[in-house]
Amino acid sequence: MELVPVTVGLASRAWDQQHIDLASAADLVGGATTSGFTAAVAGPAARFIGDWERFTDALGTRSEGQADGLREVIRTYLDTEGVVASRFLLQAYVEERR
Amino acid sequence: MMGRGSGPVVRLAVVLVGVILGVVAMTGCRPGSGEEEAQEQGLRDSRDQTVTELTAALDTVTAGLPAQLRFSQGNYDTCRSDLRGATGYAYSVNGRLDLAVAPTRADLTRLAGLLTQAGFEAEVVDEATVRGTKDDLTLRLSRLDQEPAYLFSGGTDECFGIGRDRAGDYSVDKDPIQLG
Amino acid sequence: MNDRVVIPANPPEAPELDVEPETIRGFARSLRSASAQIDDLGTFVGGSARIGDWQGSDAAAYHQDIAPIGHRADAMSLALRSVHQQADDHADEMDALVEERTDLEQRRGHAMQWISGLWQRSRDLGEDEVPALEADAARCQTACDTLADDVAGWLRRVRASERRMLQTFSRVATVEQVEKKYGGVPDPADEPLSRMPRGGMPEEVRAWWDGLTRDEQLAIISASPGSIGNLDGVPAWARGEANETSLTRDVAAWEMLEFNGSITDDERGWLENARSAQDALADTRSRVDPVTGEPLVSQLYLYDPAAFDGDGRVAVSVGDLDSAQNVSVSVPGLTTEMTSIGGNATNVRDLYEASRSMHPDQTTATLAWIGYDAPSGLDSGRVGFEGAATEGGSRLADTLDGLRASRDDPAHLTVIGHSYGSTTMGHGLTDHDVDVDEAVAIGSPGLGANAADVGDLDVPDGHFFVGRNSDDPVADLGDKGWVNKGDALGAGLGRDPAEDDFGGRRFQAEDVARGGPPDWWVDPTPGVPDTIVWEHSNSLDMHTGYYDPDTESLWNMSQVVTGHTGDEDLMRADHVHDPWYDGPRDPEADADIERPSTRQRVP
Repeated sequence: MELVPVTVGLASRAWDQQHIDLASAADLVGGATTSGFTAAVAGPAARFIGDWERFTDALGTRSEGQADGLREVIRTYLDTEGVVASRFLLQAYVEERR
Repeated sequence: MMGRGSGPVVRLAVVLVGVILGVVAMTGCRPGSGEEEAQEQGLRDSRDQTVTELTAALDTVTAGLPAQLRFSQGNYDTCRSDLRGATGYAYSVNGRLDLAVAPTRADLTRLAGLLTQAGFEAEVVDEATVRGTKDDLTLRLSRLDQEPAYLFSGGTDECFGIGRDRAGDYSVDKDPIQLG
Repeated sequence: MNDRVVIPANPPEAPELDVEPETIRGFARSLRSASAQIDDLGTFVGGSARIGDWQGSDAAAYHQDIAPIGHRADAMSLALRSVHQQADDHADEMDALVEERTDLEQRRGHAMQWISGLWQRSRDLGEDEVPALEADAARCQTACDTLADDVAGWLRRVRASERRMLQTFSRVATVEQVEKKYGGVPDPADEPLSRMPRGGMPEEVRAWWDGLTRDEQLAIISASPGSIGNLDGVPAWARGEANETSLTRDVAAWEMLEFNGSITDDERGWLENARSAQDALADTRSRVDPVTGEPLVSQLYLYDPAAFDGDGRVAVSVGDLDSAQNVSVSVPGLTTEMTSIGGNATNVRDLYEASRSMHPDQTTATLAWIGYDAPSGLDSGRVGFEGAATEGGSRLADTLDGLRASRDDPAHLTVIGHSYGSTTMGHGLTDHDVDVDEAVAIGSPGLGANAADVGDLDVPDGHFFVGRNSDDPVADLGDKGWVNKGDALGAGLGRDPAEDDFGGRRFQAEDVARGGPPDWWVDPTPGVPDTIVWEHSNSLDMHTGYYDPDTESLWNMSQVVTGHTGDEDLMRADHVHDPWYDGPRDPEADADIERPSTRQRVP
């Protein structure tokens, strides 16, 4: 069994934070006002921000996926019989905090 | 006259007590009567009356010069405050009239005449400004040196107390003067 | 009517241009803040996301998996930045085109009047008047042709600007396009950031900044706003842009946490701080310059919402700090923290508007500076001691140095300290070498134990001013008399700068409500719980009106800020005097209170 250090737990939390940051970035993009452009530009601008809100959101989802993946690694590790060292510390990272 | 013989340490202690009481007072404790509403209504009335009077006066002035209104801006000027910010406002308006040519000092006499025509008591204050008064309202117009324009401001000194939770309602009043 | 004379047809009209450049800039700012956020993901993947002490197949798979995420984040950040930049340029172009259209329409109005005049003259035209009319008509035709060409050229520029914007959108319309165009492209911010002077003097920072290309500067603002937002020596425009990028990003991130219920108490405080800065900027920009009618410029010169254990650090300008002839820095005192920026921005806005109205031929910028940890909230008791002022004075001196270093042409620089802020200012002027033209203390409890008189201040002779309302209990705190008691027992804030022995120049600064009813009482209204009513006279409220419009103090401060400091330029006040045989006397206590208009030009 490969050792899973506590830093894996720390990284999962950091990926959660990235997920939140990317979700807020997606909101920023989606909330950008396009009404200031001329009629010729406003339509494509609205389409642009719609697309980019999705792109950014997708990047956030991938970040969340990394966090979930690392938590899964920790759970599997902790479920393995015989793992004692660092169990207490790792246990704190099993659940998503944010 | 300040208190005789009070040393700095005593005075400091007195003010520190005042600060603490002030902080307590700032936590939202205001008279719980209808006085606040009356004050706010007074401010709104003052605003409406000022705008009405100034609009009439500036109509006369712009027609007589002639001039064009470039912009006007209504102000809720702080006239009472505590450590956290404004607790009272007076309403005023300022703005700019554009002319064809830059006015000289001699033009101020004619401007004063137009204010008189508009029902104000008018006088040339100095080489730049004409002041007109009508009841509590004062209207001032100052010429610019290099530009064909007058800057104006008008309002009353009357101060109305406003609770801090309502202060956000009184920030800027865009383009209150609309000339015919 | 004479039909031999050909009178020109009406010239073409420039089509309506329905555009809002400021809203486009807002669009651009949102993209830039999002770009910075996405850039952070790229940085994270390349750095702290790597888990060095984790070995084995899972670790290998993880590290292999995250690399494309970082790659995509970097590419997307650059792509979004390119759209931000183009949108900003587009807004500038549209501003110019809107102005140009106004000019074209004016010319068209004149041409049509001219044509109308020609038609009138052509009726009942005498034979001898024909040549003159022909010549005038020809001139008019030439003017109309030129105008038609200019309208066509203007329209071409409108279309070209629109095309550039549309092309920018279309170049990054899909993720595949983004990766192809920007994947693996080095961030133009990285190399110049690696050369940034660490801990350098503002002059070194300025030299570094000036050595960058415009693209590099803009890249740093987008990619790493935190590295320059509060860096002394960087010009105010760049600090403002960088700090607003951070501000927008922070508010979005903390609001997201607030929305999903996972925000911490600290973050909630930071969010409140950030929103206060956002509101102050918006309030300022909602108003117009009293001379031009153009929206007020406001720069976020300092932004650090988590500083000082959550009290925060912020500075907001009214006017352009990079170009204004006059610049003032206002230092507030007791109870100041970042959430107070709204009231402080209003104060400096009043100072700005008064300075502009009184001297319309000069440009001015005023800065509300909350750059030190002023006594506030539970630690208000520190107001009796100089510790916060000593540390604040050092920070103030850095800010003044930074303002000086970031400009080629020196501004006429005034520093204004109110209340405990004057003590902070005093330490800035006694403990450090600073270069100010004027200094003003208002409502001052003393400038610190190091300032026994004006000679101890690093201010040009005759350019230290004092405004003191005779009814202000805080201004009454300063040490007076022939025995200098200094800061005995560690308490006290130094000598009263309004006293004759201090040597400052005192101007009138009486509060219009001076000499009123008692300080406070318990509200007796039936049915209402006991509340303390704080009346605005003979109390601390006598300490807070120095920036109010149409007051002696604002009028005098505006004169000083605009460099009108001769004796005849100010409303002079007599000094406080403390004879050895009696208590202190303030001759201003009996003086008439004036109400000068701070919106009237001073000839």
